[in-house]
Amino acid sequence: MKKYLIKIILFLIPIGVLIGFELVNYTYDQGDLARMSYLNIDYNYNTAFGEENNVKHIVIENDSSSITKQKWKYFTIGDSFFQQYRFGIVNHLSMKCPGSVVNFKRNYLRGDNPIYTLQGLINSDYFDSVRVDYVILESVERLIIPRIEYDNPTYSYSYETVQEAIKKEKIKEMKEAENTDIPPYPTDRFVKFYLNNIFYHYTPTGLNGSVYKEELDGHYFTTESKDLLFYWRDVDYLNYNNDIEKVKLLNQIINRMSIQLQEKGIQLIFFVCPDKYDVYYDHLVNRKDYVRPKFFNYLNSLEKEYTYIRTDEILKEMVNNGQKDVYLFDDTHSSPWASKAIVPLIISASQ
Amino acid sequence: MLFNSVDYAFFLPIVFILYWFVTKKRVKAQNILLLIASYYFYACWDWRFLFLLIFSTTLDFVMGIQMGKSKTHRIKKTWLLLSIIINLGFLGFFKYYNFFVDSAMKGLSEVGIDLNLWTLSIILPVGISFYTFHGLSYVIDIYNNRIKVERNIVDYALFVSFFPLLVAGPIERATHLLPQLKRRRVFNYANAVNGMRQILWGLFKKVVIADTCAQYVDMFFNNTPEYGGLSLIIGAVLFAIQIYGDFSGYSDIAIGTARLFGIDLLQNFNFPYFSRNIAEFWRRWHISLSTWFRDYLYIPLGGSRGGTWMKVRNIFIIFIVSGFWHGANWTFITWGLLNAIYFLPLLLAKKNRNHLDTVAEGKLFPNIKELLGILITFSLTTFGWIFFRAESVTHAFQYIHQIYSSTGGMEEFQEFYKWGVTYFMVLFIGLEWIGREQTFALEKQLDKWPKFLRYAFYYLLVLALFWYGGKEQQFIYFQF
Repeated sequence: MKKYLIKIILFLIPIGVLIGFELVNYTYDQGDLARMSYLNIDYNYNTAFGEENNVKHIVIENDSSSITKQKWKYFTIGDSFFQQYRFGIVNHLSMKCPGSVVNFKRNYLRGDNPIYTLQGLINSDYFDSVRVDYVILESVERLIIPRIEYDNPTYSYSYETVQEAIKKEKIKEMKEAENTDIPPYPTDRFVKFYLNNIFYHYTPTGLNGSVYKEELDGHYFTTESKDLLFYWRDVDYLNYNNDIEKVKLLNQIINRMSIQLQEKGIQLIFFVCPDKYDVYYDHLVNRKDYVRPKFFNYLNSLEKEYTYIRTDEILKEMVNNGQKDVYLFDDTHSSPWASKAIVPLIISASQ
Repeated sequence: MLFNSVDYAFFLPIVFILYWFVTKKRVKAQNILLLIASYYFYACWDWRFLFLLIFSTTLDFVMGIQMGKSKTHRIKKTWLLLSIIINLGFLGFFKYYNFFVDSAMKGLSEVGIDLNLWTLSIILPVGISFYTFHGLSYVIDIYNNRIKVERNIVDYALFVSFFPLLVAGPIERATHLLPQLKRRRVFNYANAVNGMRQILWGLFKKVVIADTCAQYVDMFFNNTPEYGGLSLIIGAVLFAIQIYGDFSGYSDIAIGTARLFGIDLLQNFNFPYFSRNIAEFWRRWHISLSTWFRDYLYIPLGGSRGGTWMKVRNIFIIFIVSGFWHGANWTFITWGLLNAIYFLPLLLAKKNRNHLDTVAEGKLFPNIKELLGILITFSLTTFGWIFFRAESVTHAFQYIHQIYSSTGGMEEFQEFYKWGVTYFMVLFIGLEWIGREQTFALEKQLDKWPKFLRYAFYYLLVLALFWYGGKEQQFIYFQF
């Protein structure tokens, strides 16, 4: 019996030590890129953002009962780059213009395709019930072209359809909230933690390829590190975004939606949140190994029927002027500093 | 609590240490400890159904005693029938009530009668099919004088509720397990080593093989019209592997766990996919259930004795009931029916007792005839699994129709190759084949390896568990 127990313990000790080390060094509340790469990152949001880290999320969402009771100045629809909870552009816009902003929550209807969703709302009576002056449409750069891949101008999502979708989603959220079970161990995180940390010494994408880690030519974040972490799709989807024909098609679609909204007395403001890779591209030490993004070069040059905000210009200018943490170091999203820079542009475009 | 969970990883060693060090090898103390541990294990699933388990246990314990006291055969039979009615009544109520009501309402609406009958909104108590059958086997064995009446409630309750087999088998027999519970258990090193090996192998089959297959199977079965014929064939094959990995993996963990406590459970799977015909398959698949039905249903009905029509009738009854045991859905009944159709020709041609040995015994490879037999049998069972997995009989036929009518489908499979799990699958099939003459694949063959290689292999399995773990897939047989 003793021999058996000793053998089992000796067998388990290395596993236990490795699990313990991983549990201590892998933190669950890091940014998405840190979690996906399994890198141990020292980045403190309080240090980077100070009071901005503690602002409240005050956005009025479209599942609120007051949505049809007043006319709103801004109706916002976009993805996580827009609606990034307290850090997001929508929240900062709501802080600057309290009571004037209503946001279409991204997990209803077409999920992460705000372009389809907006087209569907335009085609229906939705804006007869939800009265607005301006629609602000946003998409992140890497997904903008895939999102128009199967353009169908006849989608229609009425106010009732949206309300039904909201009800179903709320039921789903309630059921998910009831599930407090801890996921079983073992998980792949244990193995990927070590393998990825080893592989990042030899390849920019680690083991699982979802996060790039490349060196920058200076310190652009409030960390010791000069690394840039960015999502694989920022690079892989360049074959879509660097295709001028596809960018022209995008512009046509947004023009179409703008004209349709103008017929309803609504102005369309459109902007694209640049990929982190694009904003910091010129500062990559090994940029010769990477394709230069051309999306904004193309889009910025096209004729538009909508109000367009040049987010790429403002954010790159901030980085070049030495502003740190324009994007979150351990996350793919832009930071509160980016939101604070973009919001005045939205407000001035709507006056 | 799942076998592949943190909770179980703490639960098992604690029970193990208390069992061997605190109870000091006293049988009574060991049994009380195991019973408390078993009830705790079950309560972690749902504490409300613990009362049902205790009630069912007490019922059969009392019935057994009453049968023992019966002065006449008629009274004894009455107690037996009462036990069967109550046990099957509970099983039928929780498991089959909604099925019968829904089927009746559908059938009546076909003839223009619309009824709105009350249906249950209650989850199925975990393991009810298994512990009910434990209890039934006990009372039936008393009736048939195969076993003496058990007068120790703790021993009996432990027989019904022993935690490794409580929620998904193997379905134990009182004649096999009760005597072990009455004997003092002594720690056996070799047995405990094999127990850990079997647990590790079972976890590998479940977490690495079955759960990975499940992700693809769900994709193909949940979105059937979107896939080509080849993909759907692959989906059916993957389900065949998934259900085997899942269920035999669970059985291995259960049997291995019992070995740690010096208890021997019945072998439940004997490498069924290496069977040369359907009859051999059913001697090797879910052995505890198929032998239960053989001993308590098939033989009392007359078995293979009597005329041809009686044999045919009995075979259909057994397989349909077996299908129905798996779940309250016409798909399971259809699956049972299909297996009856497969089995019948062998029975009528008196070939159902062929292949009692192990395929290619003592050899590395099967001969052509054996290989052909294996492939045909595997194909037939895989076809049957389509019905087992489908949401409805209509869905199953859609799936089959899609296989024959739709071309293409290799694209989806490429991601499967990318993940690398294919290499583990090859390893899995290879080790199962090499170990087919043992009770489980790793039982003896690792003893021949050098120590370094053996431990490296253990660590490889552990790493694979971590690598492929993370997405919780319920053991398939828990729904029964």
